Amino acid sequence: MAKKTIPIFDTSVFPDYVSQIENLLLTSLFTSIVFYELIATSIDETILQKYERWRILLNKNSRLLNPSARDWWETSKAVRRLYLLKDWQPTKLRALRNDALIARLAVVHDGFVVTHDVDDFQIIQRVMPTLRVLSANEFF
Amino acid sequence: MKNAPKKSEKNGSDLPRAKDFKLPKRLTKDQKELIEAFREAMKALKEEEARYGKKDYSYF
Repeated sequence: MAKKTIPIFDTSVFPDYVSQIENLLLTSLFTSIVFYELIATSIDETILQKYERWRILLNKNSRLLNPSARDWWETSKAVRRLYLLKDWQPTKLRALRNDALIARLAVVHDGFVVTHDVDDFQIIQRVMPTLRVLSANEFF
Repeated sequence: MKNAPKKSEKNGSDLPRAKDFKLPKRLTKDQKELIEAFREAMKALKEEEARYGKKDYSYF
């Protein structure tokens, strides 16, 4: 039987799997990084209130993860290790910062990342070997 | 290597799938509100994508 570990969604899976994620709202975890990316790319003012209500209720139901000072510290060290490997351009590493934070939260909370961008998280796995990742296609 | 993940852990074949999780039959008020808030947020996101195009989060 599959081990019950917790799914943690990358922003890329929204809104493609809305009905499936709805069934997982109380058994998965959501990161504040996803809210950062959703808000930063939003256009209409009205959507912000809806994201805020969703965020508040996730928090109320103990489903929201926020990176701690320690998480930022350890994520920085992980990205530094990637930087020192010199296999990627600094611009690519900058683009991986948020993914690395999501990855860190997944590792710390015994979760696994569900994403459309498996390749990016496989780069992070080079420096976070206990990180587990599953493509959205396989998960859903 | 010590603490290295097994091959099945690395490729995700040991991980649960969406069908392995279910909502509880009875929901509290807070849980119902969460589901409703999620629906509304995703409806708004879909409408925005229909209006302005698919979002790209890859550069964050």
